Amino acid sequence: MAKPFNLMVVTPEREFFSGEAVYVSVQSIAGTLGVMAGHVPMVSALDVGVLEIQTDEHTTRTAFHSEGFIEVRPECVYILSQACEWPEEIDEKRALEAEQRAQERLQQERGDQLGTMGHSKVALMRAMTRRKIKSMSSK
Amino acid sequence: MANVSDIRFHIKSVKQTRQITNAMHMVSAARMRKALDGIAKNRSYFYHALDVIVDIRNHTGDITHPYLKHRAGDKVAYIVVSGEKGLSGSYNHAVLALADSLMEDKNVIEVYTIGSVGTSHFLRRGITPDRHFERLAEKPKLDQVRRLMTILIEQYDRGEIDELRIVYTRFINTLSREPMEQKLLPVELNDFKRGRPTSTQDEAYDRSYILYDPSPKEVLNALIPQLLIGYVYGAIVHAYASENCSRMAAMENATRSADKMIEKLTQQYHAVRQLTITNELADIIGAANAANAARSADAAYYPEEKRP
Repeated sequence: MAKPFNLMVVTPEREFFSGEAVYVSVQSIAGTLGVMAGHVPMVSALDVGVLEIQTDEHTTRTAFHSEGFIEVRPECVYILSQACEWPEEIDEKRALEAEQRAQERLQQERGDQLGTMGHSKVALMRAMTRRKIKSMSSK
Repeated sequence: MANVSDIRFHIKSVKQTRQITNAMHMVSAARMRKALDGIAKNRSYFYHALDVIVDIRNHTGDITHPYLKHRAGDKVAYIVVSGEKGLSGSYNHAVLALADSLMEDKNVIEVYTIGSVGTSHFLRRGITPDRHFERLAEKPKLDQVRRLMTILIEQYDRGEIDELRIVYTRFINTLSREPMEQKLLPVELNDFKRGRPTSTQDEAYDRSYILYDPSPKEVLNALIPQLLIGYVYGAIVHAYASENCSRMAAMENATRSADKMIEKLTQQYHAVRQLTITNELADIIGAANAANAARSADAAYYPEEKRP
């Protein structure tokens, strides 16, 4: 049995998760990052992606996470993200609308304004990830 | 002196006002408690981000970042956070007066307002806010703050503004709040530490062997915009708590003076009512006396048997 460690997932609006876990994985800017107990102290920034928390050998919970960062300390792992949502909290209709909006914007902006294109892309990523997590959980 | 029905009407209207102020007091108290909760949650997020940035700066030395460097220009953009409604004591006035005095001697090219009181204040002074965010002051939402900051950071990137500042009301405790200004861009890390509680656990933690993935510079790039978003969101939550706290105090005072006024009017009402009764009694007694006197005069004049 894997050794458990303390995990805290915090957003500016609430404490999303606090408790013991054996494994957690997030989408960092360098790629998917998995952490288990005894990890070397590290800091990385997070992209938009899937947050996976294994609280014990048999239970895994997935959630959505937005941009933020992860800090691995000897005593605790902190994940700080601007937004975190469990699948049941995701508003699929809103995500779908956001996805279409972002796609439209990307179509229009292509070429003329490179600056804002990045944000539409992030918005698109956010919407698509939300929908992916939602559909994963409903199966 | 006013008559009885006038006073009764007056008491009734004061009672109605008192009911409203009392209800507003309760609502603000509940909202304030909620906002305080929000402040505590945002604090841990924000200080974590700040710690990481300070660490990167301390341990990796030569990293510079466009958001950390000063620029020669003097084009300033302001974000002003005020309330959505009035009736909150000196809250709106204090923060807007500070904003006015700060903007006076600067080359302000953009004004962003959060809260409709601020928007109408600047419109009255002939300054049209470049963008205003209504309802955000009433219900701080992170995605809206993100949108606001994205616009501003982009403007900074393009060199349209050289400095970004925010004016808001900082919540200290339920009795005191302080309108203040904070420079957001370029980032001055020491400024952000104001009012931060120090914890011994943090000092014991050796931060010199932390691994930064993929590199300190990239982590810094990703974190600075997040720090700013966290700060602005925190500022709005602070302002919201201050507004409700201020309104709570104002409404408590109003309720108390309404109580005093009702008491005074009730006394007056009793006095007037008593006086009317006394006057009426005096009239009746006077009339009765007069009637008695007339009857006895009659009796003296006409002998008993001859009475008609």
